[in-house]
Amino acid sequence: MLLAAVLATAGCTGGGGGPEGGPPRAPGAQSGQSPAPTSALDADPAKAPRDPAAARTLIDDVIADPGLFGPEAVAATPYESDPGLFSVLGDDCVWRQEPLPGDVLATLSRHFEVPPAAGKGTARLVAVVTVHRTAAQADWENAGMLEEMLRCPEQQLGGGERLTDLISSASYYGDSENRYADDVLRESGDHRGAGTAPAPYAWMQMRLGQVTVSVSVRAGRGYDAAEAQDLGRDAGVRMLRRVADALGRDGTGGKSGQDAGPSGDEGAPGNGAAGNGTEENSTEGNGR
Amino acid sequence: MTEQLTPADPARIGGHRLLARLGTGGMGVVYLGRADTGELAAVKVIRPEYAAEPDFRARFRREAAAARRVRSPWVVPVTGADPEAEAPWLATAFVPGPALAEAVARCGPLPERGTRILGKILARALAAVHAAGLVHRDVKPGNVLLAVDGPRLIDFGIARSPEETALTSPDAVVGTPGFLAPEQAQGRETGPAADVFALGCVLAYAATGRPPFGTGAVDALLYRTVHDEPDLSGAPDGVRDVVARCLAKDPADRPTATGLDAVLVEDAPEGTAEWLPDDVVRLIADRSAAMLALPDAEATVAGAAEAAPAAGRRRFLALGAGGAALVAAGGGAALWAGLRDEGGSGSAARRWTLGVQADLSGPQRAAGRAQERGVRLAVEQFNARERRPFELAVAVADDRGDPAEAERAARRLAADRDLLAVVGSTGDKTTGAALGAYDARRVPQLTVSSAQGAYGTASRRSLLQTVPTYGTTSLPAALFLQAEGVRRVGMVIDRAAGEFAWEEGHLAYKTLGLVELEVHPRVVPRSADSPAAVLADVLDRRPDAVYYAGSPRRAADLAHKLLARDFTGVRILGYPAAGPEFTARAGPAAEGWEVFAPYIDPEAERVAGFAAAFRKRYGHAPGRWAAEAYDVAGMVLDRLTEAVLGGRRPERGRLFELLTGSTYRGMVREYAFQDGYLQGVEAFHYRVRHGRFAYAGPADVGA
Repeated sequence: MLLAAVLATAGCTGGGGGPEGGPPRAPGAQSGQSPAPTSALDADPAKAPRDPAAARTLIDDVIADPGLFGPEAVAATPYESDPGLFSVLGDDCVWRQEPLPGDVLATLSRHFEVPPAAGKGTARLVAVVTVHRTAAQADWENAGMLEEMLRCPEQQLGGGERLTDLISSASYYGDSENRYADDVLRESGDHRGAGTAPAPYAWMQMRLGQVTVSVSVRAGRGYDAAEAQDLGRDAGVRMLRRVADALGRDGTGGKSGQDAGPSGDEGAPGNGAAGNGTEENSTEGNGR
Repeated sequence: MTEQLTPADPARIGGHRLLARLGTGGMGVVYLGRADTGELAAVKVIRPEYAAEPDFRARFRREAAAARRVRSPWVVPVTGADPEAEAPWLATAFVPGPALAEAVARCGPLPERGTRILGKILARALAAVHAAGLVHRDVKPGNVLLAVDGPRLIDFGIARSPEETALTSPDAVVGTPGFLAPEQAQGRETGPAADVFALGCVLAYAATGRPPFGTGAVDALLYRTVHDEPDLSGAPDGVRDVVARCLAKDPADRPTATGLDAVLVEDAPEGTAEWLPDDVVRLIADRSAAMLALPDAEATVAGAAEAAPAAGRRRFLALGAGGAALVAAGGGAALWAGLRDEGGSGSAARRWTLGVQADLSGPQRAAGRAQERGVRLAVEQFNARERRPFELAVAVADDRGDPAEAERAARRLAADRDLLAVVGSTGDKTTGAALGAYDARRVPQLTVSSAQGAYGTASRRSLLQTVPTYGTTSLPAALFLQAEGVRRVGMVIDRAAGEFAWEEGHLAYKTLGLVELEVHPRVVPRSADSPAAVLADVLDRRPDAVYYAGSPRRAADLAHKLLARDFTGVRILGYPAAGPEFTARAGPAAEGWEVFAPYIDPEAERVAGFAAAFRKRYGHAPGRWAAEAYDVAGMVLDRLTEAVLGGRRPERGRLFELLTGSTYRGMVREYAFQDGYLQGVEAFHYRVRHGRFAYAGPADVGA
C-alpha cells in the first residue's frame, strides 16, 4: 500500500551500502540562511586552468592509471574515450556521447579492469576527469546530473546493459563527513547485461573547484556493494588529491590533500576558504 | 592515567578480567578490572613478599572486613577481597574521575563555598570510616577522586606498607608528608583525629592551591607540621577558621568528623551544581569519559550494586517548586539529596535522571526550549503523582546548535550513570554529533525534531527517532495534490539550503511519482543566489503546482517571484522551510502556501489539556514541538515504570528494548518503532493565512 511504499523509500538516503546523508542544517524552526560558500580547496588562482590546453594538461596529471586501482588492475580496451565527447544521460534515461558543452574545457575517460580472482568476477572501472570553466558551472552541472539521476532510477548503458534500483546521495563540503571535497555525489545499485544476473554498481563523483573526478564500478559476481564502493572511492580520493596538489596554494596541497578523505574519517577540518574567484553566480541553469 | 598491561601481568584476578594498570606502589600493582557482573573495579594486588610478613594477612583480613562495613556514598566501596590468596587482593569500585590534586593543579583553587562543601562531604566520608572502626591514615588530595556527582575518598587504611611513605620508621608511620598529623609524624599513636588534621590540610590545599605546611624536604616538612603554624594566607574567611581548628596540634582540640560535618553548614542551592567551578566540572567529565573509553571498559549496566543499603525505599527529594530542574553537567541532585540527609548515616539514595539535550541559545532555540519545557512538564506531573513508583530529575544540556558542543554535552550527560535516557538533540547536525557518545554508553537517545534518514556513517543503534523522516511528509502533500486535481508539479530542490533539502526533495519526488503526478524536478546548487534561478524553466512546463524543498529565507524569495509571475497554482512548502522567517519575509506572497508537517499545532483541540497545563506552569502558550516532546517524555516514563523492578535502577539496555518494542499512544500520535525509525506518517496540515501558519487539521495520509 502507498504508505508502505513511501516508508520503504524513506530509509534509502544513502549511496547504497554506507548511507551518506548526514546531519544537515536546521529543520523545524529554520533560521534559513544558506551556508556561506566554502571550498575544500585552498586555490591558487594562478594555477587555475583557463583554456582547453591547460585543462588537458591538468587532466593528464590527475587521471588514474591502472595502479591507482590496485596491483591487479589493467587498462581495458578501448582505454581512453574520445576527448571531444562527453557522456550524457538523456531524458529517455539512455547514456549517449555528445560533443562537449560550452562550459567544459576538457574531459577524459579511461577504462580499466580488475581481472577475476578468488571468487570474484571481473570488475570494470571507468575514471573520468572533467575540467569546467568555473566552479559555479561545475556546480550547476552537478545539479543537472542530480536531476537526471532523479528522473532515471534505471539507466541504459548500451549493448543491452542496464543500471537498476539506483539510489543516490549528495553532500556539499561541510555536510556530514565531507571535509575533503566541494561536493560529493554518489549513486549505487545493480548493473546487469542482457540475460545476466545483477551485480553491484557504484559511482562516486567528487568536485574540487572547477574540476570533477569520478569513478564508476561495475563489479562482477562475488563483490558486495561495500567492496564496489570502496574500489571506486579509494581511487577517486587519490585523483582528488592530485587535483588539490595541482590547483592548491604551494605548500598546502590544497586542503583536500591533507584530509583523510571519506570512510568515516573526519580528517582535518577545512577552514572553509571562500572560492577565491573561481566561483561565480549564474542566474540561470543549464537549460536542459 | 592508565597504562597497558604488560605480558607479566595476569589476565584475571579474583573474578575480574584485567583491562589496564592504574598504578604501581611499593606493595604491588593497582589494576583496572571488570568483574563478571560487568562492574569496573580498582584491584590492588599485594606482592607475595609482603604477604609473607607474619601479621600482614591478619591485618589485611581485619581491615578489609572493617572496610566493608563503611557505608557512605562518598567512600569508594570495597567490592571484593581475598586476604588468603597467594597474592592477596582488594577490589574497590572504580571511579573514573580525576583526583582533587589534579583538578586544583589544572584549574586552580576552589571557591569558598566549593571548599566548604567539599569539606562537608569528606567529613561525612570520614565519619563513616571512623564509625566502622577504621582510621584512613592517608587523606590527601591524591586520594580524593572527583566523580560527576561528587567526590570519593579512596585508598583508606588497608594494610598500608611503611615503604609507601618516605619515612623509614617501621612502626606504622604511614601517610604523606605535608598531610600527616603531628602525632603521626612523631610516630605516636594515631586515631581518627589524625584524619581530621589531614582533611584540614586538604581543604587548605583546595582553597589556596598549596599545602599548609609547604613542600620540600621531608624532615623539614615534618618539623613544620609539628612546630609551626600553618600557612593559610589566601584562604577565604569561611574556610580559614574551620581549617585552623582541624590543624590544632593537640588531637583533642580538633573537631570530630561528625562535628566538622555539622559545623560546615551549607544551604542546598536551588538545583544548581555550581559548587565546583566550570572547568573542574569539564575536567571531571572529560576524564571520566576518557577513562571509560578503554577497550572493553564500556560503562557498566546502570543496575550495578550500590554502596547505599536498600533498606526501605528512600524518598527522593524534589528540588524547588517545579521538582526537578538541574542545569549543566549532571549529577548535582544526588549530591544535594545526600547533604539534606541529617540522619548521619549518609546513605543518600541516588536519583535517576532524564536528560534533555537541546539548542537552547542558538538558531533553533525556539524549538529547543519548547522541547525542554515539554519534557519538564511531563516529568513534573509524573513526580507529583501520589503513587509514583519513583522520582525523576531532568538534566539539561544546551548544545547551542553546534555539533562540537553537542558531542561534548552528550559525553557529559552520558557519563552520569544515573542518566537513563536522553531527549535530544534539536537539529540534525547536533543529533548526529551526539550519537556516538550516547551509543558508547548505551543511553537511549530520542530525538523529537531531527528527521534525517541517516547521519553519515554514525550508528543509529541507540537512537529512537520519534518524528517521521523528511521525505515521508511528502505523502500527505501528494494525496492533497491529487485531491486538488493537480497533474503536473514543478519541484524545486534547493541544495543551497542544506543537506536535508536533497533528502527531502528526492524522497518527495519519488512519493509524488507514486501517486502518478508528473513531476519536473530542478535542483538548485549552492552557487545560485536564489531558487528563483530555475523558476523560468519550471514555469515553462506549466505546472499546476510548485513544491519547494529548502529553507525559510530562500523560500520567501521564491514566493515573491512566483507571485510576480502571477502563478496561481498550488504551492507546497516543505516543512523545514515553514519557519517564521518565511512569512515575515514573504509577506503577502506567503499567502496560501500549504505545509504538511509532523508537529501538531499547539492550539489544536487534541492537545488542549496539555496546552492549558503548559500555560499554567510557564505563563505562556506552548510552542511548536512542545507537545511532541511531552509525548516522548511520557513514553519514557511509562516504559521506565515497566522497567523498574524492586526499586533498582533499570538497565539502559532494558529501557531501550521496552521503548523500541512497545507502542505508546501519545496525544499527538502513536509511537511505534522499527530499527529506530518511527512507524507511521501522522502529519498536520497548515496553510498560510494573513501571515501565519494557520492550522488546517490532521492531514490525510491515506491510512
